[in-house]
Amino acid sequence: MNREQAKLRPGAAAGDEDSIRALWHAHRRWVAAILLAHMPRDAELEDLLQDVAVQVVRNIDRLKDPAAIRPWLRTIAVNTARTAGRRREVRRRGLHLVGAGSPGRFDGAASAAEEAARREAREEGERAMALCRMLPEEYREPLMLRAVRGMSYRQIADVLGVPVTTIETRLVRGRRMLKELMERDMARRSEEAREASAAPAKGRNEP
Amino acid sequence: MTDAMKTPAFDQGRDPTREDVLIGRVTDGEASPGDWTELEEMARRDAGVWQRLAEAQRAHARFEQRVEDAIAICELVELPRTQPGAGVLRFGMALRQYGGWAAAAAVSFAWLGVQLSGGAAPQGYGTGASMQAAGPLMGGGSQQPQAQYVSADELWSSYLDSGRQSGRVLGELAPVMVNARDLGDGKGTEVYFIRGVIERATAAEVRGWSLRADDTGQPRFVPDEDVLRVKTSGGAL
Repeated sequence: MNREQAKLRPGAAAGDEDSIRALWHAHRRWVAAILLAHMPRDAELEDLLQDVAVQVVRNIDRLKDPAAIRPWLRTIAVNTARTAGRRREVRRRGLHLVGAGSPGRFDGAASAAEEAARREAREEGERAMALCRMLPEEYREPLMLRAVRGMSYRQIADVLGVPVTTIETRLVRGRRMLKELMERDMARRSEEAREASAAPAKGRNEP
Repeated sequence: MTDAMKTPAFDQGRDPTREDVLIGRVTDGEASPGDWTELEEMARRDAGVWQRLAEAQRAHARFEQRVEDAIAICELVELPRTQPGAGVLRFGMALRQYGGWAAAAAVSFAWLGVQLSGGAAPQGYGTGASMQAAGPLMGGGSQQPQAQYVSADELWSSYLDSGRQSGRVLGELAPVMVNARDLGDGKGTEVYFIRGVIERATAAEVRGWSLRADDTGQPRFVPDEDVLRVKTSGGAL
């Protein structure tokens, strides 16, 4: 995030559209990460981002202290995600029009080994993100924010309104907890796989 | 209930070790030269430090990539524009909600345009390499019916251009890719995407909007059938 862009430009609070837009561009990536940390699993990130954008335009004139832009945006994002959680509803995701695979990346004809390694990395990342959302909020948020490229400890501390040393400690603890969760998850999967492979054999042996 | 409320039990009591902190700083690109020196000292005593650092970096890289993929959508989310007297228009949402029928309508218009003009395609149509991928449209209005090969891209561009000139087409949405697959053997990638158009129209009679399921099964407000019929009747607009 560009430091100059991230500042609240003078025109933004006065409602100048270009200034507000520049502000949005500078901050929307980490705002998305905050939403990811708080939103219900079946919510649409894009919808929630739109909600945040609407709130920003409507309420920017109430922001008096330029230094408070990050906590202000975080509060909007957290409230938006929680509101979505309260009105949680069963929503059917309908864009799987063709096939069930995710678009992923396409680098031409990759070898089977490369493809397997890529799939494993992607699946591990997905599991980590899903499990991260089970961590307590104080660890979940810094971890998500740190995964936004370019977010420094200082910037994360500004967003969350705590000292840099606290962020550092929470990141270390959060990663340790996440690792523990990943290991538990892996053990559970192995156990399930073992049981699944044992079940047919058992069935064959029984009269 | 959010996922966070199902938090499993953790050991939060143990303070981070110095090694944990240093590995975290290196992984996050926040390590100072002094931190590096300290980590190297540790690694001289315990070579496993390097392995733990590598594991931490790998785990972080995979997590970061997944989060970056997830938040990439934010590049498409712009601030809504404020419309005088109309409050804030949730632009992206509006586009997405009506994108489905707008795209369908756009394709219909393009097709109807050729049909209603008696099949006389504009000058220049039927030439160029894009013809190879084109479908045939029979020119029914000329004295000597003949096949006019017009590509979908040409029709689409023509529709957008004439729509913009008449003030009917306000803009085209960025295509949204919904799926893709590698064709293998260097043949490229087959992509599936949605295109949409924002239009403005004056209808002779507007009954209103109804809440219906869109093509993704989600409830959306869509114009009543009558509105669409007026739109596609040609002369009224």
